[in-house]
Amino acid sequence: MSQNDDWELVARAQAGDTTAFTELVRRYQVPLVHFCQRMVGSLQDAEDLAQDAFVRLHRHLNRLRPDARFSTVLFGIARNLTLNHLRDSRRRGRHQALPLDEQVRAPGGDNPGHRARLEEIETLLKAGLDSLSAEHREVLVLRELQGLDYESIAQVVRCRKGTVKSRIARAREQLRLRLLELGGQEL
Amino acid sequence: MKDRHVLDELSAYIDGEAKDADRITRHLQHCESCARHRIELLKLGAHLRALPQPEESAAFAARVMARIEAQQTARPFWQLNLLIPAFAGTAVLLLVTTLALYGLSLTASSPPMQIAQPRNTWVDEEVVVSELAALINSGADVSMVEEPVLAAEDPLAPDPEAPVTMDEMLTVMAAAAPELAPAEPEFGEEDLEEMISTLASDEVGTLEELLVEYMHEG
Repeated sequence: MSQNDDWELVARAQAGDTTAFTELVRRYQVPLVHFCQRMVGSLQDAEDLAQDAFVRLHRHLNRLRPDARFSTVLFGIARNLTLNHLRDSRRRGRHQALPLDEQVRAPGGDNPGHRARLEEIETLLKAGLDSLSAEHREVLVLRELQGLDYESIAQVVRCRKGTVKSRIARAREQLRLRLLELGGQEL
Repeated sequence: MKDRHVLDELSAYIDGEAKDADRITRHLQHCESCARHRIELLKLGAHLRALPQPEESAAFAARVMARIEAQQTARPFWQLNLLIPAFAGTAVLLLVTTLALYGLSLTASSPPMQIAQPRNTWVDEEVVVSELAALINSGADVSMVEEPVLAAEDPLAPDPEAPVTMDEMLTVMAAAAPELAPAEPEFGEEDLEEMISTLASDEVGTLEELLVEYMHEG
């Protein structure tokens, strides 16, 4: 999907074309839910947050201007919602380590040993991501899972590009050390 | 120039965001520790990207669109796009009203400056005279109009009971303060006639001698 295609859909949605907005939802549903899931842990909460993000995007649809990447606008909304969710969870004392029973769909093969190994790595990665601070986790997820470049990440998290660069480097190093602590030497 | 390690730059390097990528590439060709670290970061990224993604669901988009439609139909009028113009209009109205009330309060609470008038009866008389003149000019009967009662006696006003002659004044003064009244003169006209007749005698040669003698006898 190209940015031009995205903004064309936005323009049609602004004109009242409901199918155009539905197409935007369909395009960004998976990456947005995935981003939210890696941020908050729970898939159910992630789906709710992603829906909220789309609803809010539609509410401010007429104010959108094609002077940025559409994905940065959408992920910026979702990022704010996830941070609010994490903050509220901490206040209620509900935040906990990523649940290990979240839709673990380890790819790969019929080999039970190999599949068990992938599940182990996945469990370690979830725990490692959860050990990072929110500001380190969000830039790492946006970079590794969403493939955004540093400039786009800076727009999403509203900081300088240099800050994104240093945060990603620190997040990688902390995650690597955390995985070593958790027993992922052979990662 | 010493070829320093690039561990701190590897994160940006593998993302294609390093400033000096050529130097890092040359370093990695002969530095085993930095090269191994780069491999670890690449494997870490690969594992992260291999994390299972949520499945696409048609129900998800349907739920989003249902929520949007529900909000549009259930949204009260104050959440419509008219909200901002309504607030702006209300703010302008409040501002104009406040300014108008403020201007009125200034007019009502700030009377024109008045110079304090002394409580002088002459001023009161002038007022009475002017009022009488106005009544007379209007043709009203002013015969029953009473004289105004002066607020205080004018110290400079002539007293009709005041003495008009010196003797009366002295009498009043003596009555008011007997100790200040002039004493009865001891040398009167009869004394003067006697003194003149004495001057005719030969016993007293000069007026001065006569006076000295008179004083000694007194």
